[in-house]
Amino acid sequence: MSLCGHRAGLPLSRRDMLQRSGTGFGALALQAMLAREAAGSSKAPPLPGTAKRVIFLFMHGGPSTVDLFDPKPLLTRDSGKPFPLKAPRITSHKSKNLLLKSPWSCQPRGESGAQVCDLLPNIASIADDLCFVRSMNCSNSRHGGALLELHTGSDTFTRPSMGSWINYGLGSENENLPGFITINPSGSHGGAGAWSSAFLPAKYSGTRIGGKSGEMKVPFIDNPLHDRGKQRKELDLLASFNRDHLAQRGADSELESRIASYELAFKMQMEVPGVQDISSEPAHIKKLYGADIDPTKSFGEQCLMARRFSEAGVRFVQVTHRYWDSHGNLKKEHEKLSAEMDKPVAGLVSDLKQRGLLDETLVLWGGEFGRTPTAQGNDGRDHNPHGFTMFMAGGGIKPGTVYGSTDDYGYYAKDKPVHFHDLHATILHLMGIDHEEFTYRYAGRNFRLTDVAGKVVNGIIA
Amino acid sequence: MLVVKTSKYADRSQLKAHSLAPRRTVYLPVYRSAGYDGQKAFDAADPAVPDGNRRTSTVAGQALYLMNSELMHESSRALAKILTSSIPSQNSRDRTSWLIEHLLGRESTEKERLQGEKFVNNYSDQKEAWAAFARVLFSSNEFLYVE
Repeated sequence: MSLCGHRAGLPLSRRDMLQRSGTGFGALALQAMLAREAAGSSKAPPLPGTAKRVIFLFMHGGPSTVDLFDPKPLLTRDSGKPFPLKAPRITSHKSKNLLLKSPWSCQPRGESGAQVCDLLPNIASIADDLCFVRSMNCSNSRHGGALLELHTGSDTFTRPSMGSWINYGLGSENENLPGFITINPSGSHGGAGAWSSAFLPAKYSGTRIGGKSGEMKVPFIDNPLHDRGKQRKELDLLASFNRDHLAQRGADSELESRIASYELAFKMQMEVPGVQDISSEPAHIKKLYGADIDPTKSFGEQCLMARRFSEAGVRFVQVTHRYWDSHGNLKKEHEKLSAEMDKPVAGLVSDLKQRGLLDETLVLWGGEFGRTPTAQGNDGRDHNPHGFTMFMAGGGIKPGTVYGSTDDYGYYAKDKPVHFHDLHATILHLMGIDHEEFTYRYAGRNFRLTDVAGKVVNGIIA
Repeated sequence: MLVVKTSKYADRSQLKAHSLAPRRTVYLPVYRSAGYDGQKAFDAADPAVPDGNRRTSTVAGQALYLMNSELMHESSRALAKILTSSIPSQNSRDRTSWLIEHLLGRESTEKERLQGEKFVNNYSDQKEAWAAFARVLFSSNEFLYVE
């Protein structure tokens, strides 16, 4: 918002053009456009896409996927011996690079035979719905940089989050809800940078639902008066004042949008708490997500909330589970975290499937990096951005697939490596957007989510 | 040479405390890697690049801030307090005039005085009524946008 009446923003200039074309067609078109913009209406993707929505289950801290999804017989055999390949030049901690075998074991699951750790029995049971990419990699070995790289494509500058890009491209499917919601995000390691619209218009920025488990809220959604009728009267008087003000000044799109924004906010205030409220869900659904009892209650509730938002038409919903950063105490910590995460994730995928929503909803699971096959101390693993696993389901992804591989010890992506840029290109492709054509002009050049990189990973598309 | 302890005036871990300081935002430390929620909601410039042409937006999240934030409610209550002591008579037309003159810097219209009268008559509590009316003026385009 500009407090000095000066407005400059490329996407809004169309309004001025229409305004200047007089009161006839221009005024009508402007009115329709303002109504649409206020509603954030849905746009058809430029290409036929399979996915309409994304649910991103973000595992903050970096889960040890070499233990969870990528078992290595040589790592077990050579445990305690030095890592025979060259260790990365930059690591998070100093290390003797001694191999550490997994404290758990994986089994081939379902018809696909995808390997899933014994710690994750529920995810194991839906392995045939999942596509595991074992050759993920990124460029930054620190949490902040890697997290931003995963969310925005850049570990150096403030760039729009993928949820913002997708909303900018496709618009919102529900006029009363924000198009990008992030539940329980981390305030550190990039913080708001992870859901910021950066240089894209602010309406595409993520709406954070934070706070204590069970009391999570959109910022400023609660009216301190606790009286909707009184607030409605305030807004009616406000609208009347604003209309008179506008009539004196002549058509001004900025002022008109501001008037419309109060109406949208009022609608959001009515709709968001209801969509968010999982108490109306039947007991068997809560049970499916583990939202009924600990240790799955908190994350289960959040995953269930994510499904409700997604079902209501929110394009991009993110849920964050933390904190997988097991430099020490790997065994105990990963057992606890797996027990919290396994059932809600499998419950969400199964629930989407039984509702017929999985085909049009892309579910993405993963952390900002994985962990090293070498030891830190005697019960820990360091950050590993060089080779790790993420998995996906639905939205046009090929189910029951294992794609790419790491080396014999699980340190580096080896066969068919997939960088975060490639992941972004693929997500956009699934939503019907060509990542090379989809640009926004800023600071003198065109920007893309994938900037100057990224290849669509055709091998994981159904 | 002036010697100042590192982070004496600007501490990355004290963003919240900085934002609550009773100073104008021009005195807030700016961090390239972080920002303030209120500023972000209202299109603060990206501190990582030169920004000669500020982008502006008008979104529902900003409206929620104006409708429900503590700042708006506290300020409107405070203004209502000043109003009731400045115009002790309970004449709602006089009070409407006073508020509009003080916030918008112009005389009120007859229509506004009538609307003000009608609006506050809905309330049993006068303090609450004038705080609500002040909030409406604080949120109005005429107050928020300067020519």
